[in-house]
Amino acid sequence: MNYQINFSALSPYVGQFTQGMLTTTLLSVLTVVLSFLLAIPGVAARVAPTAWVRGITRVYIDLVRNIPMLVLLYMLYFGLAQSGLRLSSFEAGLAGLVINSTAYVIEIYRGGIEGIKPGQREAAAALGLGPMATWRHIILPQAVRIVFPALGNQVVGIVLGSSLVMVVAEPDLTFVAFNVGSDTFRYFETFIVVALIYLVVVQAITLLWRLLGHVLLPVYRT
Amino acid sequence: MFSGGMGPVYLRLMFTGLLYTLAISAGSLAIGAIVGFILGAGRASSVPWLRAVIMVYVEAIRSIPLLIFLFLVFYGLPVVTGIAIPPLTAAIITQGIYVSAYMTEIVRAGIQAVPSGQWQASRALGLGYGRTMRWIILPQALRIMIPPGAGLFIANIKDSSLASIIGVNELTQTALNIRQQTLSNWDVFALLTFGYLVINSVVSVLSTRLEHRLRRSERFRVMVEQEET
Repeated sequence: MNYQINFSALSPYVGQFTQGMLTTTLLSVLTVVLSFLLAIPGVAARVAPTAWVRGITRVYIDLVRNIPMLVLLYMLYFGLAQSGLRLSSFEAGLAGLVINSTAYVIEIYRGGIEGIKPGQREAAAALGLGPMATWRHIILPQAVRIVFPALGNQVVGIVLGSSLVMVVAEPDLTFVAFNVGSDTFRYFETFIVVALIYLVVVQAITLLWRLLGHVLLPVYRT
Repeated sequence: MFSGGMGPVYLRLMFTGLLYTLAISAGSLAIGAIVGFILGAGRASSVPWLRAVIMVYVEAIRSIPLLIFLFLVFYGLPVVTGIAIPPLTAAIITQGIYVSAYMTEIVRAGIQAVPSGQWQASRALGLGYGRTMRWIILPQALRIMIPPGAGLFIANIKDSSLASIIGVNELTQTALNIRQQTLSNWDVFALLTFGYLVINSVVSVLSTRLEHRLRRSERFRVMVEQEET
C-alpha cells in the first residue's frame, strides 16, 4: 500500500480546528474557574463537624471518582433528556466536567488543610489570633503552597478530560478532528496534528503554572 | 427492572460487557506494567541520555488525551499501513501504552524511595545491578508502588469505557445498547454505576490487603533486626 502522508490536505480545515480549540479552551477555563470555586464550600462540607454533611460529601466524591467521566456525560445528556430535562451539548459537557473536577479539587483542598500541623493552629491561638486571622494569616498561606502543584495537574487533567465532551456532540477540538478525519479520510495526519496541539497546550500550561508558582509563592524560589 | 420480562437476558449481556471491561483493563495494565518497569528502571538509572529519552516519552503521552491516541491507533494507523486493527486489540494496546507512561513514574518514584544505602550495601556485597534490583531494591520499592498502582488500575478501569467509542461492547456500551432497546433509563445507569463501583471496590480492597501483607514481612524484618541488636 502506497499511502502518501500529506499534512497540507488539512489546510482548508484550519478554521474548523481553530473553532474547536476555542470551544476546548472555553470549556476548560469555565471548568477550572467553576470547580476551583465550588470546591471551597465543598471542602468545608467535607470536613464539616456535622456527620451527615460529611457523609453526603464523601458519597458524592466516591461516586464521581469511581464512575467513568463518559458515563457521567451520558447520564447528563441522554439520561436527563429522557426524564424531560434537555441539556444542550455545551451545558451537559460543562456540567459533566465541573461535577467531575470539583470532586477531585475538594480532595486536593482537603489535603492542603490537613497537611498543616495542628501545632500551627495551637500556636496561633496561643498568640491570641482569632479564627479568621488564624485562617487568613496562618492556614491559608501554607495550604496554598501545598495544593499549588496538585492544582496544576488538575488543570492539565481538565484540558485532557475535555476531549470526552465529543460524545455528547459538543464540537471541541477532538470532535472537530474526528469530523475532519472522516471528511478527508486523512485520519492519521489529523490525529497527529491534534495530538501535537494538545501536547503544546499542556506543556505551556505546565510551564506557566510553574512560573506562576515562582511569582506568587516565594517559597518556590530556590 | 427492564420491561418485557427480558431481565435475565440483559443481565447476562451486562455480565459479558463486564468481562470485556476487565479484559481491556487487565490486558492494558499487564502491558503497561511490563513496559513501565523497564522504563521506570531506566528513569531511575544514572545514564543521563536514557533518563532524558524516557522523560520525553512519559511527558508526551501524559500530555495527549487517551481518546486522541485511541483514534490515532484505530483510525489513523490502518490508513497508513493498510492493516485494520480490531477494536478490542486497539483498545488494549493503546491503553497499555498510555498506562506505561504513568507506570514508569510510579516505578521510578518507588525505586528512588529506597534509601541509597541499600544500593551501596548490596554493591559492596558484590551483587551486580540485576541482582541488586531483583533481590534488594524491587522488593522494597514494590510496597511503595502499591497504593499509586491501585489508583492507576482504577483510573484504567474507568478509562476502558472509552473503548465504547470505537465500538467495543464493554460495560458502558452494553448499557447504552440495553437502554436504547428497552427504553429504560436510570435503572440501566444505576446498574452500570453499580458495576463500576463493584470492580473498583474489589481492586481497592485487594490492593490494601496486598499492601498489608508486604508490610507484615517488613515488620518481621524490623523485629529480627531489633532482636539482633
